[in-house]
Amino acid sequence: MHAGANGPTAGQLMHGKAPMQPSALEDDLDLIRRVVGRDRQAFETLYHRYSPVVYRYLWKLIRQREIVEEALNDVMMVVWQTASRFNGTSRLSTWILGIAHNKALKARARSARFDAGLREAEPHGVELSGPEDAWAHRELASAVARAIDSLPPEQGAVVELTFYHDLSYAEIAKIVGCPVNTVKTRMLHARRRLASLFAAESKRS
Amino acid sequence: MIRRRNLNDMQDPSDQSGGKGHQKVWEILPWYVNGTLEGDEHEFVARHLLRCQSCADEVVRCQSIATAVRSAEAATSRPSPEHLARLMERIDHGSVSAAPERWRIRVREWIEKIRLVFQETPSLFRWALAAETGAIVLLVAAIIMQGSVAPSFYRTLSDAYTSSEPGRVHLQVVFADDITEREIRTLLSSIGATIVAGPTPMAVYTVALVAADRKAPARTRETLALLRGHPKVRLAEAK
Repeated sequence: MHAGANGPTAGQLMHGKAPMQPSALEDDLDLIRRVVGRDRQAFETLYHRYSPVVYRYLWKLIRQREIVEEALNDVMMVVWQTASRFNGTSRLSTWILGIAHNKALKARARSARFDAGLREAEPHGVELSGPEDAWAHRELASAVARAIDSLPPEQGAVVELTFYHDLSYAEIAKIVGCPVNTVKTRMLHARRRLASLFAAESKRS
Repeated sequence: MIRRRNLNDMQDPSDQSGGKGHQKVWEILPWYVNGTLEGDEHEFVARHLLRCQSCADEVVRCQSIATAVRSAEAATSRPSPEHLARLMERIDHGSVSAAPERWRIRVREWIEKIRLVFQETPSLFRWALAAETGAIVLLVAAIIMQGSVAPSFYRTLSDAYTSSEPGRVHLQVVFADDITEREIRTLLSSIGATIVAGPTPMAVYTVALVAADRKAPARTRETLALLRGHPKVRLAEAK
């Protein structure tokens, strides 16, 4: 099931994503160099390439469309203004997601007063329900998705960065600004919370 | 049953399949599933999976989590189409802070909060609360009128320079690809600057204005204007 270090990754194969080739990395480097030189066209290209990824990550952590868009605006402004500080030691996506993570934390702090409202807007519970068999997997996926949404932000961020962005634990540690072991621990806690879902599914089947 | 086995694995990693080795594998299984383990670590996990049913089951569960994560909320994963236009407008106008948008959101939050308080307050006290709220609004307005607006989160290229090294002004400069070493020397000599760092991977040089006086920001601005007007300088900004 695993392609190994030299081939496409398991996550990429699973979801039809191509691995990032050296040429793509060079392309990113060229793009950010042009942004450093105040090339607006390059910046727009960079925006189109990374804004969906950044938007999704911000959405996972903030969950208010208006504030997410504001945070995305801030992230892209920081990229435009501080492109010269990108030192090339990490992937461009890692650098940008690190900026996004910090902006998301600040945005969450600003809107903390409205957390109660946010919780109300989220789906309740993760209990499985509905017909057997044909719907079972869809129900499980839906329940898992809801359970992931209800994880504490720091755990949800690690799950999102691992399974959606296909990042290594070292890259995730860099983005969220914590030691590698903390990343692993957060993931363990998240998996433990999700384990009950699989137990429930096991009882059903 | 599955849940119990998972928890046991996490709490007592020595129960089966190799003690600490099992615990290590268990911790990094998500990154085996997303394919980011490399070299020895990947091989170690692959070998362990051949003899550990518990970890093999957990791989399947991690794959289920990955599928759920990827299939969730595709509809909300993109900014609105006009977002880029607003961003470019912000860049064009040099408005480097989203302060106006934040103020708009905050004002709306306050209005909503006041409305909720009013709803839960006996009518006798509403007028007193209204007066208090009005006083707060007036106070905030007075502060704003005095220029005590929220600080900008970003520094523009033309902002006053702040350096940790007294008496030295550092600038970041990116030269055109076709500039020669001689042209760089001539240019820097003409503005009284020397290279102190760089180039970085982004081709950024840090130059110091020789004997610059930090109390003379006008000279810094003139130098930046001169550099920005040079045909072979792509970027110049105060560091």
